Amino acid sequence: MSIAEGQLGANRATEGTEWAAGEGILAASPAFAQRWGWFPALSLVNALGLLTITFANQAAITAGARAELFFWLGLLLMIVPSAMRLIALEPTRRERMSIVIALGIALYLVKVVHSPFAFTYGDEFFHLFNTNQIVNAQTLFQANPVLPVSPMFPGLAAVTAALATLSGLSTFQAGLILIGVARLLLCLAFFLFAESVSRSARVASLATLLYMSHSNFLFWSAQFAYESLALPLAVAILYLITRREQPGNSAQYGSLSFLALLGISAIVVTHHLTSYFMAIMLVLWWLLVRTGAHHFFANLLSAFSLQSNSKLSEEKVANGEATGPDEVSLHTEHGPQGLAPYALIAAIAWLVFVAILTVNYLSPLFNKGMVSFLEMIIGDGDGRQLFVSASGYTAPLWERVVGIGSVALSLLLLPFGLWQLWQRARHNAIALLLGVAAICYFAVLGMRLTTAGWELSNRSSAYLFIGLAYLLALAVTYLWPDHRPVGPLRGLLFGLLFSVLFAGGVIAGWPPQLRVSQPYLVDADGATVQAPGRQVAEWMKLTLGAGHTVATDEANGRYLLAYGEQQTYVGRFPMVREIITAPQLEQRQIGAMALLELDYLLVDRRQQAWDNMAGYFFAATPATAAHWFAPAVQTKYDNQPAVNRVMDAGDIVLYDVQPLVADPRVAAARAAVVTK
Amino acid sequence: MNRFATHSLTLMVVAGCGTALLIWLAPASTIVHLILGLLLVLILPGYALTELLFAKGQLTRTERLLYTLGGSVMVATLGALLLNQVPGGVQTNGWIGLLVGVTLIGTLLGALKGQPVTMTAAPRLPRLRISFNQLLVLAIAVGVAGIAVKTAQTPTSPQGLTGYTLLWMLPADDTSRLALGISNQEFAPTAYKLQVKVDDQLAQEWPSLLLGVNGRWAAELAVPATAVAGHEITAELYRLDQPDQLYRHVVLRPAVE
Repeated sequence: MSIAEGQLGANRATEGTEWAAGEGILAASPAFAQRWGWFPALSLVNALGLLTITFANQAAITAGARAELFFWLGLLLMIVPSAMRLIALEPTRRERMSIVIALGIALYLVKVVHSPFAFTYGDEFFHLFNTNQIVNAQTLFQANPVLPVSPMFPGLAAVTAALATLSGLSTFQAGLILIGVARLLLCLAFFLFAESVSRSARVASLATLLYMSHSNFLFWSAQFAYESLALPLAVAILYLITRREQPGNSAQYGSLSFLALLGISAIVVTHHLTSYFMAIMLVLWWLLVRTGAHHFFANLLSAFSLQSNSKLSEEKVANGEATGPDEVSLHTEHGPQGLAPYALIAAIAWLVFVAILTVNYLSPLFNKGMVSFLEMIIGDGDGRQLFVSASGYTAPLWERVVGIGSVALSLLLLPFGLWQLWQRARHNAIALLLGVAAICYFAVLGMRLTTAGWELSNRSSAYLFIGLAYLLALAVTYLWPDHRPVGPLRGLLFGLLFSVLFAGGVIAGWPPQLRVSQPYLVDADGATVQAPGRQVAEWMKLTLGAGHTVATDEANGRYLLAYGEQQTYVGRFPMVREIITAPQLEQRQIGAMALLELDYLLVDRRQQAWDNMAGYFFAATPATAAHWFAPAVQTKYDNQPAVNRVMDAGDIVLYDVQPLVADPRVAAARAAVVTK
Repeated sequence: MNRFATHSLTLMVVAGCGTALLIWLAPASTIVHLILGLLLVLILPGYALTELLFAKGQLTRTERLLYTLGGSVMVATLGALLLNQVPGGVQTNGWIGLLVGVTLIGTLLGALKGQPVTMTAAPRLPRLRISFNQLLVLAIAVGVAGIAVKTAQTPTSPQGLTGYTLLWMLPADDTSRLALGISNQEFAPTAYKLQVKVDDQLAQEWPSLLLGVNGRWAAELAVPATAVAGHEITAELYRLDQPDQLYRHVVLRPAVE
């Protein structure tokens, strides 16, 4: 029996024994109970960490004092004990898997307690709107005026609509549950995938843990958005393929392939970037396996070493004497045979025949990112200042130190991971690809230094970090090897190092002021009052009806879309920002309004409303003029003879511009804009 | 068909059909509805698919969990595309037909496929071997997490925040009338005074309007179109606790035909 078969058999035997039917749930023998190890206790610690973060959120809204401190304390309470346990040698496979799943779910709940009343992340409004459209119209592909590409990938919205329709939950509640299930899938699939590649439950659990330190894990990947569902499915596909090619699985080859085909199809209709990442990954993997390029490369490099290990391995395999996982891979590797071409064709076909808008949506992201990065290299571009948010907030010194420290630590560990990869899996195509992804992660990281490249770098990190997490796990097991017991101090050292990685990810991934809750729903005399933007959006739908064309800022635009069901134009559309924030009304703005066929303008005097992450909440008081637009901006439309000021909510005012747009004299201005 | 297959078939048929029936019958927004909905969307189709594709003993329990949840999501995602081809298909009956259909067909085909590989006895539900103390600690953990989520759902104290009021004035459906409204989103009951002026001349006044939190007031005002065309109609709202300070105002400028 080869070592691969042996290991898999051992996993099954272990799990089978661990889960074997017994005499009763409470009649567990001490041996059985030990297999859960620290999992129950760590779950309790996670829950206490969550409670601490909830306290931080409450403090942030009511007093503000020490909120940040409690937020970080809560996170440390969750991650340090789990990391210390996972680095140890004693935990069983079951305990390791349970710990990473419990931690993954607990970290998802951090997002839930952060926004417990409604979706408040910018992209969530688009998907909430798409879901409501499916529920109401009973059909897919309903237009989304703000993010037109999103209904072309209806997977998330469709499943959420099904859940809401059949369970009686609101779309918000159904979405929370679905993303929670996606998080569970991600942890489970990542563990199984990493275990399948490394053949080690310890490496697998550490890789899953380390993946949680990527900058988007805590908040971005927990939001109600299509990537949050598609990414776990993509990791599951990677696992299915590695599982398919394990020895002794010939009877399941067809079943696993069928399941993988279903999964690939589901990803293709759920999220563009994930489907392209998956297609590229599978095609590269397939090409490596087909051409054997990785064997050639490994042998070439081995030729320079004193001991030609790979030659020896090939000879051993030929003689049936293979003993290591790397050596076994020499003759068992099939890769994503059949699946890679399907993934590529399906992704392209969906792009061309259904979602061609994606080209216009994504190409600026890539083009601007690359150009900006190249300009920065040749010293010609505008650099982006690190640790300074779009609103001008500068991170404190300790955050900058930890942020840079986490990148430096990853870079420091990378050579150890690459060395381990070379030692253990240089003939394994998928392991090598993970190594390449890890290196690419650092290459793309450089794009964060440019304004236009930041988003590309940020968006790709969730995918490339899969490789980095695997390599970091290999590095960690090199430094804390399997044969040397890990005492409390060494465990604590790892826990602290992981804390730096994790905190660095959080710092890089989310604006400081938004890591804790913002005031959204206020208790007022026994009743509750919603944030102004949402109230205005609901008022508009109730009073004026749905489907009006409205130009407004980023935050109110999302509210009007999701809760007002209005045809909304926000800042990303040409001229909209100028129409609203210019101090004077000029002909070209009127022409643009006519071009957009606007019915209404919604003007929010708070500058924060243009922040698509921070503009959804009650403004902290006392508000000062520094937070508002200049008076000329606020009153620009008040004195226009063909504009009606129809609703006043204090900071937010709604103008009816239909008489202005309908004025025949506007036609000339409109024509001028079109010509321009 | 062996004993396992018979049991499994019966179980899944009952589960699938029973779930569908109960979702039809149960009133919306009940716990029964919730559990059955979750079961039908996230568990049953994937489980049936896994039963169909893999023989007993081929999968570990963690793999079965992964395939059950992942398979269910895949079925719902791709099934939605099929339902979309049927007019009005993406709604309750369509979803039930799709998900129960996949569950039943998967189970039937799985049962017909042949004898499971390793099953020799009737199935037993998996038992989680865990000690009482561990179970107690886990229960406390779930309880603490529940308290955290529940606490987070407590509305914020109004301290340090400011409420707001909506005032609006729109042409009513009948063009000779104006629709006026106030919505109190302040954090306490509030008294208002509302004045409607035509070219700065007072046309109508409501000297005292007391609204509770979330309270809403609406009225229609007769304004013959011929009388106001070309004039400016203004509605001004004052809070009675600050009677000299204009709080909200809206303006209509009816055009001359």
